[in-house]
Amino acid sequence: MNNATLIAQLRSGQPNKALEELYKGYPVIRHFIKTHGGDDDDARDVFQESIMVLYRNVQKDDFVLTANMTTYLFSITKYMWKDILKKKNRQVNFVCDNTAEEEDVKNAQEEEEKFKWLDEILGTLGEKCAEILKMTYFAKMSMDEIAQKLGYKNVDTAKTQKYKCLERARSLAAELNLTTESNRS
Amino acid sequence: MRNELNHIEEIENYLEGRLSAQDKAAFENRMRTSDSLREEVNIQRQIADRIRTNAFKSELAAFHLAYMAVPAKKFAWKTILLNSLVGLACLGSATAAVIYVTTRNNSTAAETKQVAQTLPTEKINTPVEVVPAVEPEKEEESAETKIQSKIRPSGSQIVGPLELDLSNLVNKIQKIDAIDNRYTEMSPVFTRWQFDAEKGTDTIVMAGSNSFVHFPGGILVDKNGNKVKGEVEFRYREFNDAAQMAFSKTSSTWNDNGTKYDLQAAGMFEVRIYKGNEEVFVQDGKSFKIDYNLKKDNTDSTYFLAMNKNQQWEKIKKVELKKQTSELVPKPTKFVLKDRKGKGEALGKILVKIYDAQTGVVIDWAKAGVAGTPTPWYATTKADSSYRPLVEKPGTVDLEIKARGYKKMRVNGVRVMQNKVTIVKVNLLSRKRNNYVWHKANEMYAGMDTCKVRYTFDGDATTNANTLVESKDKIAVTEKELKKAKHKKSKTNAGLTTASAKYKPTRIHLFKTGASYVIQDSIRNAYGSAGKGKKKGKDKGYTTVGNWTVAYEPRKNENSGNVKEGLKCTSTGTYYCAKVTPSTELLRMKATYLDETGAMIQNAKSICVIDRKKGNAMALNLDEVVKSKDAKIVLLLTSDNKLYGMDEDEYKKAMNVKTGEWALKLKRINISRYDELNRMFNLNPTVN
Repeated sequence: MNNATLIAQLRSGQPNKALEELYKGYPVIRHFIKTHGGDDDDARDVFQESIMVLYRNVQKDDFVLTANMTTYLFSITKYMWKDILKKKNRQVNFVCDNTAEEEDVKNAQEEEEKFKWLDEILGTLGEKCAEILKMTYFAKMSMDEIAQKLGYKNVDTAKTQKYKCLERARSLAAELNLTTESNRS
Repeated sequence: MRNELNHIEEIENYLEGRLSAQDKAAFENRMRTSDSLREEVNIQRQIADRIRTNAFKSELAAFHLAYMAVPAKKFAWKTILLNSLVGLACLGSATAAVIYVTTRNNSTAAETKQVAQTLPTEKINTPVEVVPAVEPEKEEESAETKIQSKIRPSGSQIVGPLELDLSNLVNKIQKIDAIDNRYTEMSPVFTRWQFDAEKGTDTIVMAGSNSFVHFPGGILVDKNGNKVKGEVEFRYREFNDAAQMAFSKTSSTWNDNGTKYDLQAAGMFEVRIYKGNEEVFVQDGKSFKIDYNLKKDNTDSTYFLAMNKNQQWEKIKKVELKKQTSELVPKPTKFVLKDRKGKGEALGKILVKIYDAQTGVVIDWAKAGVAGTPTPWYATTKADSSYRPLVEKPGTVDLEIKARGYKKMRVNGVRVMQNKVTIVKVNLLSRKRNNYVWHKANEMYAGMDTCKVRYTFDGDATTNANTLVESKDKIAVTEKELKKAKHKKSKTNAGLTTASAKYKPTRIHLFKTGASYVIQDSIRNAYGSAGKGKKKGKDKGYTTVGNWTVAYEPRKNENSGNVKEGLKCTSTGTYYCAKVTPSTELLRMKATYLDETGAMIQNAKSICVIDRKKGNAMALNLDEVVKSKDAKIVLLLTSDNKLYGMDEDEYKKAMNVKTGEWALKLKRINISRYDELNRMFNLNPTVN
């Protein structure tokens, strides 16, 4: 599977095929982590987080990948593991050789930190809202499909419901954002 | 739609690139001149991004579980050796062919070149990179997964010159693998637990199910009847919805001395125990107990049955279920929040363990944190204004709650007294413009939709009033007061902005598990929105929507029915809780299964009929289907893994046939994951 296909699949909201491809590299990464001071849990965590870094990057329109996807993923994993070892004051006995990917990792981590406060809000919206918004933004389903799947009377009802959910999320986000900023000030 | 909603839609269209070039330019023009619009767009973008990221996290976690649940192909050096030999053979043949061609006929250079071009020289010359034989941990090897293990691709383990030759095959295999995965999810993965066979284990909390197992020591024997010593692995799984029960390949009829009964599932579980690779058994005359969380809140008589060696159900006992679970748990006791002068009672130490809701595996917070997961517990002290996880060490942590108000952030400790044992629940409360946010304490693990937190108190409360929560508030001390509790403003005091916030949980129950007390909860909708003058009267501007649901409390539309305590199991194997109906009461009809085109469905393997209203699931013989006036869902699985379904409306239409052969027209169902099936038909048994 080439990079373009993988990227398209990751963006599509149906990432399972792409994950199958990426997970081909998991045994190697797991072996790497385990031979460099980690265990199975570390391997799982670092690998999953690396995929998240990749996913975040893939969402950007200008994301261009010159290397093979699995090579890139391995590279990210190495940086992440290096970072973890450093934080634990442990010896790092391997070399990471591409600073571009280090930058990617840092940016993704910063982004995660920056926006995780939104989870508070999304968690309060209720299951139905979560579902409808997930179907819209992640699965990229049409309003027709959403209405049918969630059993709304018609598309308009579903649409109104969706925007109500979004409205609520927006207003909570605006309020919490202010709160957080105020607390930090 | 309202104007505001139209506005949101417009922003969405912009973000999703659905505006025409002209509209887009106009929109961007407006953004340039309007700070508030820019801010709105920004927030909406962040929300959409976060939804995508979280959804992907969930998908990733689910994929990982599925990936780990499929046993890796028993890869060994034999495989490498075999591949290498084949590779060498190819190389040898190729070389021989070249030598033969070049020596047989000292032909022209052009000819030689032509022959050489037919050989995969580039591949042959590529160094063979031997990737270590690493494989995912093995999970349960069910019949389905055994089949999968035969076809699982070895991926990077395929090396050197053969890579090109096998890639197509690998792709094909992968496709098969992907198709089958969704159906193996009908066969739930075992939760595993290790303990010493001689000591037993007092309580095993089955994460994600609310069931508990109590296993005494010294009751296990091997196949020869010898006592088992040392560590054993306890494996447990529950069949969570109607389809899982119905497709579990167990019979749904019970023959009681010649009288046949149909079983209507209320829950099913399986227990296996292994010493190394050998299955071990419960000694005759001995037993262990399970507090089983029934999947259906069935107030009718329910039978508890066990599958015997002949694969037939045998009744163990008739179970009378109470409608409410209150008798199973101690009544809620008083709650006390520390006052700001430290008066009152100590919070003590608590032992915090977090369990993955799906696998039951203990997760350590530090690692979850490393994985970029939001850890919602924060220490907010005067001295330390940074946001940081309260728990920073890996593994199980003895956590002493030290929380002080910091500016407008404040921690409320809710203390529950029960037989001199103290359990602490701490929520972080932030306040801005009269708004309150109760931070969740149960969402901290990467990618998991839900993650239950278990707080196990060590039973040794230590009083240290000076280190405890500062707050001017007094939280209601009785449940009654709690229910009435409302917010009130209070004054700023000694540099701390405080406000009185009455915590208003809907239910808080504790239940005893051996020597410790456990509280399992999930906090939802825990957001207090207020202000803007929307509300009037003395509660103006203040609402707290707290919905704290605790284990054993059935939640609407969720799998948390009644718990029946102390079900006695005298052997390992499969157990079933079911309402029974004499078979004669149901009209069975010979059925023909047709697809949408009217053609007969080939290779039908198993069929289940689900009554969502009653929460019943029945696996049936293929040649007879229950004809009922009640709406039912019919699902049919073929041996080549095609799934067909008939919804309730179609079933009702088909039911009009009076006698004779019954043709059921089923639609092909294409799902990429099992949970889609669940969503499609809402298979979870209804809690009445």
